[in-house]
Amino acid sequence: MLYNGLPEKIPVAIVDMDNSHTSHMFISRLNALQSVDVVMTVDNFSEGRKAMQRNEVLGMLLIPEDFEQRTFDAKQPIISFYTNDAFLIPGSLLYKSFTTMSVLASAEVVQDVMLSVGLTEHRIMSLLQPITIDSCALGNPWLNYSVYLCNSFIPTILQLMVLLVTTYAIAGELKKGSVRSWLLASRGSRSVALIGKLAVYAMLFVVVGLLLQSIMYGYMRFPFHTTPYSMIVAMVLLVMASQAVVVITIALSPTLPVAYSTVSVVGVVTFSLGGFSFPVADMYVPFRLLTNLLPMRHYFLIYVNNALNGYTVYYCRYSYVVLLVFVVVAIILLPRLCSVMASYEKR
Amino acid sequence: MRSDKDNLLCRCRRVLAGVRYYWLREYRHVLRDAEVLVFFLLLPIAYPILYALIYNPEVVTDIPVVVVDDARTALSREIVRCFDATPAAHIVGYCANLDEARSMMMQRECYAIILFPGSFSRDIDRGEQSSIVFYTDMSLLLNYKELYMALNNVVLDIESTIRLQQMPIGLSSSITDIVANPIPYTSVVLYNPTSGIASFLIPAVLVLILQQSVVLGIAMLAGKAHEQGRGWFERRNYWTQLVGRMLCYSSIYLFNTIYLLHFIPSIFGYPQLGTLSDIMIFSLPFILSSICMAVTLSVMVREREQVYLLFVAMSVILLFLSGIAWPRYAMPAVWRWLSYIFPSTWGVEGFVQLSTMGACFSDVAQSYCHLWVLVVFYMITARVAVHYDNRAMR
Repeated sequence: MLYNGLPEKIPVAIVDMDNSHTSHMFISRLNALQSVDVVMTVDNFSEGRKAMQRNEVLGMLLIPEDFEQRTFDAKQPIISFYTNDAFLIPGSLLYKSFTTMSVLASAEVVQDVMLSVGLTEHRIMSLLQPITIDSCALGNPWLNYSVYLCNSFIPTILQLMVLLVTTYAIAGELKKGSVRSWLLASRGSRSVALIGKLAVYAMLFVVVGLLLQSIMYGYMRFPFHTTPYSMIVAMVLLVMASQAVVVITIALSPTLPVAYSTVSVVGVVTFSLGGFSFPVADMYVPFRLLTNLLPMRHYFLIYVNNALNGYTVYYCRYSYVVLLVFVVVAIILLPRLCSVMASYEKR
Repeated sequence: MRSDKDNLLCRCRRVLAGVRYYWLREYRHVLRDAEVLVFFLLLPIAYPILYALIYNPEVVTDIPVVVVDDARTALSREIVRCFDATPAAHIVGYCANLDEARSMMMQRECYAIILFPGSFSRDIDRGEQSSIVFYTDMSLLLNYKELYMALNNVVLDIESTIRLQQMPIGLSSSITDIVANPIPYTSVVLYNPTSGIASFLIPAVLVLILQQSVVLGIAMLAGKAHEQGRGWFERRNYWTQLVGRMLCYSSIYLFNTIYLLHFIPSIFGYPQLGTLSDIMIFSLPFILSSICMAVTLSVMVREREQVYLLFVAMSVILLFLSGIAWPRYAMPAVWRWLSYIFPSTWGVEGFVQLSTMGACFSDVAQSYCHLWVLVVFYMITARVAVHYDNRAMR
């Protein structure tokens, strides 16, 4: 879906009130940028705004009258640009492209002026940009959106599926009243029946999870700066912890519909509360605490630490521990789930 | 002639009476089922508040950054000071060397490192180009974007001062002005002035909640009918039943729509430039097509619990297909075509245009027409689906 990594050729409208050589040069250079596609030239601001409201363009650049004249007279003509942040990602990409082009246009003028006052070319180059920012985007130097999105959202979808399917597997038996035949298979031991059932599903989901991991890190070559074991263990723990959440929920909820609703909410809210798009540090305190109750949050921290950044496992040790705590709590609550099962046997 | 007319009138009256019968009967079905009520009322009321509160801080501020300053000059300190003063960054400390900074990053005490090389100011004073090294953690693109833009703006600002200082003495002020900033620019961020994540994401989520709660609730009703061993519709007058039920659900959703699309944006202060009447007119085909799509899909539900299994994960995929996060024109064609058949795609697009961007109704004509096409399409599929459903249940 996101195979380009970044949206390219974002449609843009130009309002060129100058129509001079300089403004044409400026526009054709802007159009040459990878992220910009000048799809229309309009006569005034209102027309451009209307095109924006019709979703035909996502940004607009306005070149004022007498642009060329004022540039050469050193009267500082102002270029205005408008970006639509109702679509945040293309909007901010456009902002970046527009800024770059404006700065480059300025540099060209500065270069001309400096030449005219007699500076040497070597001197001018360093004066145009005295300070460069050498940006090192660690782990994802291509700023690839796909790397960022797939690594958080695919495991979250997996977690959602584990939550829903496991609930269906346990609660379905309870509701259909097939507990007795289920227990026959385990020779009457409720906990053996439960663990056996969960183990089968766990194996299935771990296989799916590892397959997804191998597609991401093997086939699609996403950053993977760690030993495979640490991520395999993380995936196994993610699946088990998600199952643990189901066990805890069913054990504690008064009725089965409540359990279904709870796991659905947990599964869906993880997409927001996991802190993949909006950082946990900036959320309100109650939500910040709640994020700890999501297995996926801990898996995400492990992924960032190991696969993306390549730090040692030591720095995400707590995340592994917390995932284990989910499982331990579920084991503690297993007797309670067994008594829930017992109440359904009588019916 | 007269008797023909009477006949027609009688038939009309009979059909209307049928519609009214099914309409009112459906209210009883809905009201008697607690789970359906949860989906029709509690979910649309509570969920948007939860989502809005999660994203309510809107922007990220004060992202922790550490500095490794090998230059230790007035200029490097000025850059750090200016950077700290931007809303995005918060300088949590100076480190002696890169290793120390790196270990802070590993412990998640900072998200970025700024390194000034030892020769930083000396190079500038000599008239050579100098550089700052900026390392960021890439786990969250939002953090990277905010920090990089802030640092870039600070540096651009300081550069113009440096340029002025280094010009030969004795130039007229007109020339120094032009060197400092020959073509200034102003930038206006439209329709989401703070560039906030909630103002951009929540409008789409609201529309999606409307559609998904319709689907979940109706599928639950169908699941109940199937569990009781009967078809979801009675085996006669399919159209009358369909219209009756559509009236029932859409009358319930009248309130939900006003609440979600009008009150929630106004409570949380999201951009709200459209008029309520425009939005209500627009949402009519959206709700109707969602209902008919739900009826079509719900024949798959054999027991109530399958509702969760089938339709909960769908919401996430639909959010992507709506094009709010990733522009639709940049999607591969297969996904784009797939997105056309869901009311949410057009609903999100139209609602964002009307409400967030203040477009007038003619601007959303395309989405509006698509929604009516979907209403007709899904009414036909619903009719076919319930027919086969009854056959299968027999």
